[in-house]
Amino acid sequence: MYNFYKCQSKAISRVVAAGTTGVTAVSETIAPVGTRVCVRSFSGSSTSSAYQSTAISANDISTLVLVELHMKDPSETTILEILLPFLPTLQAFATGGTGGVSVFHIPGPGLISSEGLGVKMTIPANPQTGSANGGDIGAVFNLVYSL
Amino acid sequence: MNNDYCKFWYTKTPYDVNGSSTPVSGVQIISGRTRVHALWIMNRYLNASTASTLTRPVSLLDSSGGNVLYKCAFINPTGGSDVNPNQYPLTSYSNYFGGNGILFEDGVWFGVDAEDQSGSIASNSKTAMYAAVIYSGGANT
Repeated sequence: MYNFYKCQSKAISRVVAAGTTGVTAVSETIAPVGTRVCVRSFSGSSTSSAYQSTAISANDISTLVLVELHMKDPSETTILEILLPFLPTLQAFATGGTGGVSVFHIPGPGLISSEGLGVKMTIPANPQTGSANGGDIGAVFNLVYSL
Repeated sequence: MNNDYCKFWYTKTPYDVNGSSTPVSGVQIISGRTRVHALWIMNRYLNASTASTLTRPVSLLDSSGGNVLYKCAFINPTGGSDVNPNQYPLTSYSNYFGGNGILFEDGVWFGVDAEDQSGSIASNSKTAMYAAVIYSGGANT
Protein backbone atom coordinates (compact mmCIF):
# COMPACT_ATOMS: atom_id res chain seq x y z
CA MET A 1 0.00 0.00 0.00
CA TYR A 2 1.11 3.53 -0.64
CA ASN A 3 1.53 5.77 2.32
CA PHE A 4 -0.57 8.88 2.48
CA TYR A 5 -0.43 11.48 5.13
CA LYS A 6 -2.92 13.59 6.99
CA CYS A 7 -5.68 15.23 5.05
CA GLN A 8 -5.41 18.67 3.60
CA SER A 9 -8.19 20.72 2.14
CA LYS A 10 -8.76 23.40 -0.42
CA ALA A 11 -11.79 25.66 -0.65
CA ILE A 12 -12.66 27.15 -4.01
CA SER A 13 -15.41 29.72 -4.30
CA ARG A 14 -16.57 32.43 -6.65
CA VAL A 15 -19.54 34.71 -7.11
CA VAL A 16 -20.52 35.74 -10.62
CA ALA A 17 -22.46 38.97 -10.74
CA ALA A 18 -25.88 39.20 -12.31
CA GLY A 19 -26.17 40.95 -15.62
CA THR A 20 -23.28 39.11 -17.25
CA THR A 21 -23.13 36.44 -19.91
CA GLY A 22 -21.03 33.39 -20.68
CA VAL A 23 -19.43 31.17 -18.11
CA THR A 24 -16.72 31.83 -15.54
CA ALA A 25 -14.08 29.16 -15.11
CA VAL A 26 -12.09 28.95 -11.89
CA SER A 27 -9.07 26.66 -11.95
CA GLU A 28 -6.87 25.55 -9.09
CA THR A 29 -3.91 23.24 -8.99
CA ILE A 30 -4.03 20.95 -6.00
CA ALA A 31 -0.82 19.12 -6.83
CA PRO A 32 1.52 19.32 -9.84
CA VAL A 33 2.11 16.61 -12.39
CA GLY A 34 4.14 13.74 -11.02
CA THR A 35 2.61 14.02 -7.58
CA ARG A 36 0.48 11.25 -6.18
CA VAL A 37 -2.79 12.51 -4.69
CA CYS A 38 -5.58 10.68 -2.92
CA VAL A 39 -8.98 12.38 -2.82
CA ARG A 40 -10.95 11.50 0.29
CA SER A 41 -14.08 13.59 0.06
CA PHE A 42 -15.51 16.81 -1.22
CA SER A 43 -18.50 18.99 -0.65
CA GLY A 44 -20.13 21.88 -2.36
CA SER A 45 -23.15 23.86 -3.31
CA SER A 46 -24.16 26.70 -5.54
CA THR A 47 -26.76 29.39 -5.48
CA SER A 48 -29.24 30.04 -8.21
CA SER A 49 -31.40 32.97 -8.99
CA ALA A 50 -34.86 33.64 -10.18
CA TYR A 51 -33.84 33.62 -13.81
CA GLN A 52 -33.92 29.87 -13.75
CA SER A 53 -37.66 30.03 -13.71
CA THR A 54 -37.57 31.12 -17.33
CA ALA A 55 -34.29 29.87 -18.69
CA ILE A 56 -34.34 26.20 -18.02
CA SER A 57 -35.35 23.11 -19.91
CA ALA A 58 -35.72 19.53 -18.90
CA ASN A 59 -32.35 18.35 -20.12
CA ASP A 60 -30.39 21.54 -19.67
CA ILE A 61 -27.37 21.36 -17.42
CA SER A 62 -25.88 24.63 -18.64
CA THR A 63 -27.51 26.50 -15.76
CA LEU A 64 -25.67 24.37 -13.21
CA VAL A 65 -22.20 24.69 -11.77
CA LEU A 66 -19.92 21.96 -13.10
CA VAL A 67 -16.81 20.83 -11.22
CA GLU A 68 -14.14 18.80 -12.96
CA LEU A 69 -11.32 16.94 -11.23
CA HIS A 70 -8.50 16.26 -13.61
CA MET A 71 -4.92 15.11 -13.68
CA LYS A 72 -2.19 17.60 -14.41
CA ASP A 73 -0.80 15.64 -17.33
CA PRO A 74 -0.48 17.57 -20.62
CA SER A 75 -3.99 16.64 -21.72
CA GLU A 76 -5.47 17.21 -18.26
CA THR A 77 -7.23 13.86 -18.27
CA THR A 78 -10.61 14.10 -16.59
CA ILE A 79 -11.09 11.95 -13.51
CA LEU A 80 -14.56 13.02 -12.50
CA GLU A 81 -17.14 15.65 -13.31
CA ILE A 82 -19.93 16.52 -10.96
CA LEU A 83 -22.81 18.98 -11.00
CA LEU A 84 -23.15 20.94 -7.80
CA PRO A 85 -26.52 20.93 -6.10
CA PHE A 86 -27.91 24.35 -5.60
CA LEU A 87 -29.28 26.04 -2.61
CA PRO A 88 -32.78 26.99 -3.64
CA THR A 89 -34.22 29.15 -0.92
CA LEU A 90 -34.59 29.29 2.79
CA GLN A 91 -37.86 27.46 2.38
CA ALA A 92 -35.88 24.38 1.59
CA PHE A 93 -34.56 24.27 5.11
CA ALA A 94 -37.95 25.00 6.57
CA THR A 95 -39.47 22.04 4.79
CA GLY A 96 -36.78 19.54 5.54
CA GLY A 97 -34.32 20.30 2.85
CA THR A 98 -34.40 19.74 -0.87
CA GLY A 99 -31.02 21.14 -1.68
CA GLY A 100 -28.14 22.76 0.05
CA VAL A 101 -24.63 21.60 0.64
CA SER A 102 -23.86 18.08 -0.36
CA VAL A 103 -20.97 16.15 1.08
CA PHE A 104 -19.54 13.47 -1.10
CA HIS A 105 -17.41 10.86 0.54
CA ILE A 106 -15.22 8.64 -1.51
CA PRO A 107 -15.36 5.55 0.64
CA GLY A 108 -13.03 2.63 0.74
CA PRO A 109 -9.54 3.40 -0.44
CA GLY A 110 -10.19 6.85 -1.91
CA LEU A 111 -9.62 8.16 -5.40
CA ILE A 112 -6.05 8.26 -6.60
CA SER A 113 -4.25 10.28 -9.22
CA SER A 114 -0.60 9.62 -9.83
CA GLU A 115 -0.25 12.62 -12.12
CA GLY A 116 -1.20 15.48 -9.86
CA LEU A 117 -4.61 17.00 -9.49
CA GLY A 118 -6.43 20.08 -10.66
CA VAL A 119 -9.92 21.41 -10.13
CA LYS A 120 -11.89 23.42 -12.65
CA MET A 121 -15.18 24.94 -11.62
CA THR A 122 -17.41 26.35 -14.36
CA ILE A 123 -20.07 28.80 -13.24
CA PRO A 124 -22.89 29.97 -15.49
CA ALA A 125 -23.91 33.59 -15.50
CA ASN A 126 -27.27 35.13 -14.94
CA PRO A 127 -27.82 37.64 -17.75
CA GLN A 128 -30.82 39.13 -16.01
CA THR A 129 -30.98 41.96 -13.52
CA GLY A 130 -33.73 43.37 -11.38
CA SER A 131 -35.75 42.03 -8.53
CA ALA A 132 -37.73 39.54 -10.57
CA ASN A 133 -35.00 37.75 -12.47
CA GLY A 134 -31.75 39.11 -11.11
CA GLY A 135 -29.33 37.61 -8.66
CA ASP A 136 -25.71 36.55 -8.55
CA ILE A 137 -24.57 32.99 -9.03
CA GLY A 138 -22.24 31.70 -6.37
CA ALA A 139 -20.46 28.40 -5.93
CA VAL A 140 -18.22 26.80 -3.35
CA PHE A 141 -16.32 23.55 -3.53
CA ASN A 142 -14.25 22.01 -0.74
CA LEU A 143 -11.81 19.26 -1.55
CA VAL A 144 -10.24 17.01 1.09
CA TYR A 145 -7.19 15.10 -0.03
CA SER A 146 -3.89 13.58 1.03
CA LEU A 147 -0.50 13.83 -0.61
CA MET B 1 -1.92 -1.96 -6.31
CA ASN B 2 -3.67 0.77 -8.21
CA ASN B 3 -6.75 -1.41 -8.37
CA ASP B 4 -7.13 -0.78 -4.67
CA TYR B 5 -8.18 2.74 -5.47
CA CYS B 6 -11.59 3.94 -6.47
CA LYS B 7 -12.74 4.53 -10.00
CA PHE B 8 -15.88 6.22 -11.20
CA TRP B 9 -18.55 5.44 -13.66
CA TYR B 10 -20.63 8.56 -14.12
CA THR B 11 -22.79 10.44 -16.54
CA LYS B 12 -23.67 14.10 -16.55
CA THR B 13 -25.94 13.68 -19.52
CA PRO B 14 -29.51 13.36 -18.27
CA TYR B 15 -29.63 9.64 -17.95
CA ASP B 16 -32.60 7.64 -19.08
CA VAL B 17 -31.95 4.54 -17.09
CA ASN B 18 -33.31 1.73 -19.13
CA GLY B 19 -37.02 1.77 -18.52
CA SER B 20 -37.55 -1.77 -19.68
CA SER B 21 -40.32 -3.97 -18.44
CA THR B 22 -40.09 -5.82 -15.16
CA PRO B 23 -37.78 -7.38 -14.27
CA VAL B 24 -35.29 -4.82 -15.35
CA SER B 25 -32.40 -6.21 -17.29
CA GLY B 26 -30.17 -3.23 -16.63
CA VAL B 27 -27.43 -1.64 -18.68
CA GLN B 28 -23.89 -2.84 -18.15
CA ILE B 29 -21.73 -0.01 -16.89
CA ILE B 30 -18.71 -1.86 -15.44
CA SER B 31 -16.97 -5.04 -16.54
CA GLY B 32 -14.89 -7.51 -14.59
CA ARG B 33 -14.64 -8.38 -10.91
CA THR B 34 -15.73 -5.27 -9.08
CA ARG B 35 -16.31 -3.96 -5.61
CA VAL B 36 -18.90 -1.19 -5.56
CA HIS B 37 -18.39 1.34 -2.79
CA ALA B 38 -21.03 3.97 -3.38
CA LEU B 39 -23.85 5.18 -5.57
CA TRP B 40 -24.76 8.82 -6.21
CA ILE B 41 -27.86 10.03 -7.92
CA MET B 42 -28.71 13.67 -8.55
CA ASN B 43 -32.18 14.73 -9.48
CA ARG B 44 -33.76 17.93 -10.55
CA TYR B 45 -37.27 19.10 -10.07
CA LEU B 46 -38.35 21.40 -12.86
CA ASN B 47 -41.77 22.58 -11.88
CA ALA B 48 -45.09 21.26 -10.76
CA SER B 49 -46.21 20.30 -14.25
CA THR B 50 -43.04 18.97 -15.81
CA ALA B 51 -41.34 16.97 -13.11
CA SER B 52 -38.30 15.26 -14.49
CA THR B 53 -36.81 13.27 -11.72
CA LEU B 54 -35.82 9.73 -11.15
CA THR B 55 -38.64 8.42 -8.99
CA ARG B 56 -38.27 4.74 -9.77
CA PRO B 57 -36.10 2.55 -7.56
CA VAL B 58 -32.61 1.91 -8.88
CA SER B 59 -30.93 -1.46 -8.90
CA LEU B 60 -27.40 -2.71 -9.34
CA LEU B 61 -27.41 -6.20 -10.84
CA ASP B 62 -24.70 -8.83 -11.23
CA SER B 63 -25.67 -9.63 -14.84
CA SER B 64 -28.24 -8.65 -17.43
CA GLY B 65 -31.56 -9.55 -15.84
CA GLY B 66 -29.61 -11.22 -13.05
CA ASN B 67 -29.49 -10.91 -9.31
CA VAL B 68 -30.19 -7.53 -7.77
CA LEU B 69 -27.37 -7.03 -5.29
CA TYR B 70 -28.40 -3.52 -4.27
CA LYS B 71 -31.61 -1.58 -4.65
CA CYS B 72 -32.63 1.83 -3.41
CA ALA B 73 -35.09 4.63 -3.95
CA PHE B 74 -34.57 8.33 -3.67
CA ILE B 75 -36.56 10.99 -1.89
CA ASN B 76 -37.29 13.83 -4.22
CA PRO B 77 -38.90 17.22 -3.95
CA THR B 78 -42.55 16.65 -4.53
CA GLY B 79 -43.79 19.93 -5.85
CA GLY B 80 -44.19 23.61 -5.47
CA SER B 81 -45.40 23.28 -1.92
CA ASP B 82 -41.99 21.95 -0.93
CA VAL B 83 -39.86 24.42 -2.76
CA ASN B 84 -40.00 27.89 -4.11
CA PRO B 85 -42.04 27.26 -7.26
CA ASN B 86 -39.93 29.74 -9.17
CA GLN B 87 -36.75 27.86 -8.49
CA TYR B 88 -35.90 24.30 -9.25
CA PRO B 89 -33.47 22.62 -6.94
CA LEU B 90 -31.05 20.03 -7.96
CA THR B 91 -30.99 17.46 -5.24
CA SER B 92 -28.33 15.00 -4.40
CA TYR B 93 -28.61 11.75 -2.57
CA SER B 94 -25.87 9.32 -1.90
CA ASN B 95 -25.56 5.77 -0.74
CA TYR B 96 -22.26 4.56 0.66
CA PHE B 97 -21.36 0.97 1.27
CA GLY B 98 -18.97 0.04 4.03
CA GLY B 99 -16.07 -2.35 4.25
CA ASN B 100 -14.66 -3.37 0.93
CA GLY B 101 -17.88 -2.66 -0.90
CA ILE B 102 -20.29 -5.02 -2.58
CA LEU B 103 -18.66 -7.72 -4.70
CA PHE B 104 -19.86 -8.10 -8.27
CA GLU B 105 -18.04 -11.11 -9.63
CA ASP B 106 -18.33 -10.26 -13.31
CA GLY B 107 -19.51 -6.74 -13.97
CA VAL B 108 -22.22 -4.34 -12.85
CA TRP B 109 -25.54 -3.61 -14.53
CA PHE B 110 -27.54 -0.48 -13.71
CA GLY B 111 -31.31 -0.65 -14.02
CA VAL B 112 -34.52 0.90 -12.79
CA ASP B 113 -37.89 -0.56 -12.00
CA ALA B 114 -40.66 -0.51 -14.57
CA GLU B 115 -42.72 1.82 -12.41
CA ASP B 116 -42.19 4.20 -9.55
CA GLN B 117 -43.40 3.88 -6.01
CA SER B 118 -46.80 5.26 -6.90
CA GLY B 119 -47.22 2.84 -9.78
CA SER B 120 -46.52 5.47 -12.40
CA ILE B 121 -44.81 4.41 -15.59
CA ALA B 122 -44.38 7.97 -16.82
CA SER B 123 -41.34 8.05 -19.06
CA ASN B 124 -39.74 10.98 -17.27
CA SER B 125 -39.78 9.11 -13.96
CA LYS B 126 -36.71 7.18 -15.02
CA THR B 127 -34.45 10.10 -15.87
CA ALA B 128 -31.65 11.15 -13.55
CA MET B 129 -29.77 14.39 -14.07
CA TYR B 130 -26.55 12.75 -12.99
CA ALA B 131 -25.56 9.31 -11.83
CA ALA B 132 -22.28 7.95 -10.50
CA VAL B 133 -21.00 4.65 -9.17
CA ILE B 134 -17.75 4.50 -7.19
CA TYR B 135 -15.93 1.21 -7.43
CA SER B 136 -12.64 -0.59 -7.38
CA GLY B 137 -11.52 -3.54 -9.44
CA GLY B 138 -13.25 -3.68 -12.86
CA ALA B 139 -13.36 -1.09 -15.61
CA ASN B 140 -15.93 1.11 -17.25
CA THR B 141 -17.54 -0.56 -20.25
